[in-house]
Amino acid sequence: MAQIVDVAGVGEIPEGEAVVVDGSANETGRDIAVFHAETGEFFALDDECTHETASLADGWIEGDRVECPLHATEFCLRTGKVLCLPATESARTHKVEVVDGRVLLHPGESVEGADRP
Amino acid sequence: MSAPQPASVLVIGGGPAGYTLVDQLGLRGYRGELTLVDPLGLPMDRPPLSKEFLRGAMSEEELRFREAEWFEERSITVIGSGVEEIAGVRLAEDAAGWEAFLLNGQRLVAEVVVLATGVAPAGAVPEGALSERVITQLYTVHDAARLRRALAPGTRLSIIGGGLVGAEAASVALGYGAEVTLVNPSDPAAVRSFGAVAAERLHALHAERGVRVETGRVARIEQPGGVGAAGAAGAEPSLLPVDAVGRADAGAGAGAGEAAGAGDGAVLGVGVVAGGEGQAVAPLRVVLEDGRSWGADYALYATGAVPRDDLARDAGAAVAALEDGGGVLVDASGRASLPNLWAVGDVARGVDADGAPLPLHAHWEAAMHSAEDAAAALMGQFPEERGARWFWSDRHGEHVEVVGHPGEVAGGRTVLRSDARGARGVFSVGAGGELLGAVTFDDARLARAARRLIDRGAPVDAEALADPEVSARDLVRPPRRD
Repeated sequence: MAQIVDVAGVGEIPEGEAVVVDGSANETGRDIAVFHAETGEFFALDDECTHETASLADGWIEGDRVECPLHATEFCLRTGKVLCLPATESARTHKVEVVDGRVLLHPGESVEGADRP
Repeated sequence: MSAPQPASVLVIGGGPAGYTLVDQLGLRGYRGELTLVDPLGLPMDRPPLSKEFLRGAMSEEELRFREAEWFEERSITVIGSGVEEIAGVRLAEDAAGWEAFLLNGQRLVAEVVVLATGVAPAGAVPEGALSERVITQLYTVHDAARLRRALAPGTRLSIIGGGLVGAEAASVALGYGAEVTLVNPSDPAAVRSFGAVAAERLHALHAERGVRVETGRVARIEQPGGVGAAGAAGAEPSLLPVDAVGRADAGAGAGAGEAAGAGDGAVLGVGVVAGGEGQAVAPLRVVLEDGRSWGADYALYATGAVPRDDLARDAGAAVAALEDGGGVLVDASGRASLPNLWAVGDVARGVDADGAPLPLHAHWEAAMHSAEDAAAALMGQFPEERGARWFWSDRHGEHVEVVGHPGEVAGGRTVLRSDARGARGVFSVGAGGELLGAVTFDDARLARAARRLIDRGAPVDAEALADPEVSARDLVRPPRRD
């Protein structure tokens, strides 16, 4: 099992915002974006868009989707599924859970139903 | 609700629209025969040609949406290799389908033909010796690769046309250490794409970053040493009527995906002056109508584009007049005037309630959406609702986004938003206080917020728009009062 990262307190990431867990601070070696969706849920995807160099954490988060800040590809936060061009590859998901008011990230552990397990 | 699926669909053109069409048909459950023809083979994206690809940050392979296996897995036949061009399409005699003729003699038959042929450079395409040093637009990977090879420290590049493609190429060329001259008939350029305020700021960036900016109309490009190097598409200077180029820019230009925004009506001509000047001179000489001229190693014509609507025109389908900018006239779903003929992307031209061609809006997302809508209609499904339009451009390190209809309107006002880094957004607010359009600079969330505000159509809080302390999210979602 991957080493769990304690990302933040639930209240520290406003809804519609995201924070990045640096690649040096998690076992995958890749930056991971942890999103606080408007639904109140937390999700995590590889931060770099599958199309070009852009941080999904800087994207527009709406419902359970994030729109890449560069070319507006949308990804499903739940499954990582790519929903429109220009990206054609889905994003990797990482399991997130909330325990005692803390947002805990399981780097490298994809969620159930992930489009790109 | 669903109509029967067509037994076979032939898509001509493999840009964003053609690719989206075959992808969407599959996603929507199409089970018939599906064929895509493009001279360059596997479908390729276009916007990076004047950006990441030109910069050397993206390869030809990376321009392709999908590998060959992807098409094979979906039983989509891609015809490319060895096919120079489609020679013509013809409605079959029983009108039940179409025949398409390839230049290599191949004949394809399909119930439905979808034209996704995109655009071509407006005006003359140089041939012969001149074509070695004059590049016309950046619509194909070949054009872009030629310019990329030419770019090196000290290369004297003259760019004719300061619209989106010209501006992007200028900023990329600077990155190679090239000496760039940009000439546009007006200062600023691309007012119709950005509105005057944003256009001014963007055009001024060129000079600030080291581009030599000239205002004027190019009469011709000479090749001083090119004795006998004739073979330009014509030696006459004004090969293209002013109007045609001007109209090509009317809807913010052309090119599948923001390859748009020609200069405002550049008269272009490609001529060869035999004889030379008897001394070591630059290979090219750019000559303006007012007589000014300068030397160059290479020239890029970025003066707009016209829809490649010849196949439809020749087949007898309704097309917009050339002086109106051209394009295959289609309904909201992409149906052309002949049965089972459709057009999507930049080659298609919507019409208003009176049947008059709508302004051109040849941008990447619009091309993709038009293909999605056509795929839905072909499958007897309803299209998605579309909100405010959007396109982007990259110049001098700034990511510029445009949503809705930017620019100044009667009775309205222009709202500026700046922070410590500089200008972030220019908003066009209508007479009723509603947001009509916005241009944003390196602020993705601001662009997305503006898009949502435009779609709402309600009066906006101009003070909040102007205040960088109010986050983009809060513009659309006022802070909760707990």
